[in-house]
Amino acid sequence: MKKKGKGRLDRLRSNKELLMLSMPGAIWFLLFAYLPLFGIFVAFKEYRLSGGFFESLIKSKFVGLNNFKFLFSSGDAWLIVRNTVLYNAAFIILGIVLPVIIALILNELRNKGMAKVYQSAMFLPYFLSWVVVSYCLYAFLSPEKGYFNMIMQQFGMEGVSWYTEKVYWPFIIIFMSQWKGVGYNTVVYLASICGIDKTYYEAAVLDGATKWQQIRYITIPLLRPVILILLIMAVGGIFKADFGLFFQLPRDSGPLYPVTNVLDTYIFRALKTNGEIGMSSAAALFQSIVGFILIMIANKLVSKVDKENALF
Amino acid sequence: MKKNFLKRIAAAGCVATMAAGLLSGCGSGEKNANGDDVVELVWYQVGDTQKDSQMVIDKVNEYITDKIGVKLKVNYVGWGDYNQKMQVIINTGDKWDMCFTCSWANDYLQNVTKGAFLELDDLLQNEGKGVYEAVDERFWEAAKVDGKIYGVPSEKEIGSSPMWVFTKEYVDKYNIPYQDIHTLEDLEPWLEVIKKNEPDVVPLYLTKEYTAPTYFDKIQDPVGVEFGDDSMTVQSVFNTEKMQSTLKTMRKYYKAGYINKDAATTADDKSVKRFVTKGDGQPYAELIWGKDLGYEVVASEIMETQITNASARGAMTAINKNSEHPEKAMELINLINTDQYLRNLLNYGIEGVHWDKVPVDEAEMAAAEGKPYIYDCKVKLNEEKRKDYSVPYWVQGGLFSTYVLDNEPIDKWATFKEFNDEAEEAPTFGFDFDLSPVSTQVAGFRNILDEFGKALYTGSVEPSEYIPQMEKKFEATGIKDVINEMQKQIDDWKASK
Repeated sequence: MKKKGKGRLDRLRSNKELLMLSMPGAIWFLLFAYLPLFGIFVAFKEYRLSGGFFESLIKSKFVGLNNFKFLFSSGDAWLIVRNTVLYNAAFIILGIVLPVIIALILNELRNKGMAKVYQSAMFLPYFLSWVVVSYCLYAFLSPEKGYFNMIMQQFGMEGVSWYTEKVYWPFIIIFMSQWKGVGYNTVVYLASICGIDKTYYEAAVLDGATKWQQIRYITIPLLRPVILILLIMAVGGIFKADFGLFFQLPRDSGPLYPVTNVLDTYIFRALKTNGEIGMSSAAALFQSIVGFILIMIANKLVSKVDKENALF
Repeated sequence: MKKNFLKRIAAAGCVATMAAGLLSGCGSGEKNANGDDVVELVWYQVGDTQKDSQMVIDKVNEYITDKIGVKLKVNYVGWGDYNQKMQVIINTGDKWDMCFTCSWANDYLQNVTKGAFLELDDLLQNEGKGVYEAVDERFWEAAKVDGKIYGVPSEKEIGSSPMWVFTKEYVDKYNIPYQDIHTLEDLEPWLEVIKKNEPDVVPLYLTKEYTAPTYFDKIQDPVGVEFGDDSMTVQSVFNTEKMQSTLKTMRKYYKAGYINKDAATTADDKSVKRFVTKGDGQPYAELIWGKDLGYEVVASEIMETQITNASARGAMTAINKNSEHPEKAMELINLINTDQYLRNLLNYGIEGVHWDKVPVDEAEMAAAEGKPYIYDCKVKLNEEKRKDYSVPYWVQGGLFSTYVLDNEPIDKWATFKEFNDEAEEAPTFGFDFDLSPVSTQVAGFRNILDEFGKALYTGSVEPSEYIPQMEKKFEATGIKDVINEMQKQIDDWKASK
C-alpha cells in the first residue's frame, strides 16, 4: 500500500471520497463534542456570574475537587452505584441474549410477511417515551383502579400497593426496559444475519447439518463481531442510567428509591433545586471518565481474547 | 469553476451580513413622539404563551413607547421548564433585562448569591420611587439579602395560609361546621361520616404535592426553626413533636381508608370526588378553587398566617446585572405597578376585546367607602376571548392596582391588605441562610426528602418504621453540620438585629 515518496498529502488525496463522506460526522463531533470540552473547567469552579459565560468562568473561584464531593457524601452512595451497575449489567446481558434469540427465531420463520409484522410490533414500543410508558404501566399497577389489583380482588386476594412495595421493582424495571428496547436490538442483529452469505448454509445443508447446527456453527460465530462491538460500547455506558426508565416509570415514588435510585436520578434530585452548574458538570465528568476507563478495559480484554474483533 | 463557486458563496455571505446590519440598524434608530430613543427590554416570565399575547404586548408597546421610550419583548417560558431554562439563560450570559423570580421557581436567593441580579437600592430611590412607596415595607424587608434589595416584589398576600378546602355539597348535606375545623385532628369525625355515607367520595384527597400541616419555617428543607420559637433553635422538622404526631395521625387516616391510596404518586385529578383537600390559601381563594374545579368549595384556615422569607418572596421581578438599560427597566416596573391603565391591560388584555368595564353596585360601593384600593368599576371577562389571554397576574406586578372581577367583592384588595396586616412574622423572618459552607451536605438532602417525604406526609408508610430510617440517612449525609452552621448564622443574625 505505502509506496516510498508518497507523502501525507498524497494519501489524503487518494482517500478523498472517504474523507468527504466522514466530514459531516467529523464536523458534528468537533463542534458539539470536542469544542465544548474546555467547559470541563466548570467542574472545578464555584461558578459565579460576572459578565458573559467566559468571563464568569475565568473569574469564578477554583475549588479543586469540592464539586465532586456530593456524589459520595450521601450515605446512599454505595447503594446508588450498586443499583446503576447491576441494572446496567443485567440490561447488557439481556440486551444481547434476548434480541439474538428473537432475531434467530424471526429469521427462521417461513412466512416472511408475518415475520415483518412481529418485527414491527416489537419495534413499536421503542418509539414511545418513558412518560407515555409510565402511564400505560400505571393502568396496570394503579393501587385503586389498576388491572392487576382489580383481577386480584376478583379472586378474593388483597391488592398489592405496587408503588410502595419495592420487592417487585427490579423485575418490573428489567422487564419494561427489555420490552421497550428488544425490538430495536433485534433489528440490528436481524440485519447482520441477513448479511451472512447464503452459500454457507447451502454448503451446510449439503453436508447434512441440522438447523440447530447451522445456527450453532454458522450464524452465531458470524454474529460475534457485531455482538462484541455492541458489548464494548454498552460497557462504556455502565455508569449512565436511562433517566426516563428510573424516574418516570416508578412515578418518583419514595419508598421505591432503594431499588430505583441510580446515579442519574440521584444527581437530578440533588441538583434540581440548587442550580450549581459546577456540581452538575462534576457529576457528568465523573460518569464520562469512569465510562472511558471501562471502555478501555473492555476493549483490552476483548483484544486479548480475540484481537480481530476489538474496537481499536 | 471552483473559483466562481467560492466567489458566489462569498457574495451571498456579504449580502446576508449587510441585510442583518440593515435590520438591526432599523431597530436601534427608532424614536418616539417626544424624540427620545426607544430601547427594547427583554422580559422573561413564567407561564404559557397565549394566543393573543402579541396583540396585547403591541398595545402595551404603543402606550409605553410614548410614555417612557421603552418597547417590551416578553418571553414566556412554560411552568415545567421555567427553572431549567432560566438557569441556562442566566448562567450563559444570554441577553435579558428583566425576569420573574421568587422563592419557589428561578430561586431568588440562589440567583442573588450567584451574582445574576442587579442591586436595586439606588434605582428604587429614583426611577422606582413610586413602586417603592406603594408596596408594603415588609415585602421590601423580605427582598433584602445582606441588606440590599435585588428584586421588586409583586404586592399580594404576604403570608402563606394553608387551608382545608371542603366541597360545599357535602358540607351542606351533613351540616358540617367547617369554620370550626382547623387542625388535622378536627377533621376526623367528619372524615368518618363521609367514609360511611359516601362510598364514591374520597374523604381526604391528597396528591404528591401535599405536605402535612407544618408549624415550622423550613429554611433549608428539612432544617429550620419552629413557628413561635423565639429562642430560635435550629432543628429538623421531623424532630419536632408536632410533626411526629401529625405523621402518626396521617398514618391513622390512611389506614382507615380516609385518604386515596395513590396519594404519594398522583397529580391532582379533578375528576376525583373529594370531601376535603389542602390548599395554599389567601382571601377569597375559594372563588378561584371553585372556578377551577367547576363546583363550589368553602375553606377554613389550618393555622394563623405566618410570614416567612419564602412566603413574602412569592413573586418578584429582578433586573439583569448586565442589562444595558437598568434605569429603563426600573421605569417600566414602576409604571406597571402604578399606572392603572397599563396594569389592567397587562392583566386582563384589551378592554372591549377581552373584557369590559361594568359598574359597581351602589350599595356595595357605599359600604366600601373609605377603604383603600377601591376602583369605580369591575371587570367582566369576555367569555369567548378570555381563554386567548389568561396570564398569571402576579408575574407582572402588584395586584392591588388591578380591577376586581364582577363576581368578586369590590373591597377584595382592602381585605388582602387587612390579611397582610394581621399576618404574624415568623421569628426567622428576614434571615437568609448562606449554604455555601455546607453545600455538599445540602445536595444530599433532596434525595432523602423525596424518598421519605411524600410517603410519610400522605401516611402511605408507617412513621415508626420510616422516620428512624430517614434520620439515619440524614445523619450520614451530615445534617448535624447544616444544623450547626445555620444555628451559628442565626445567632450572628440575631445579635446584629
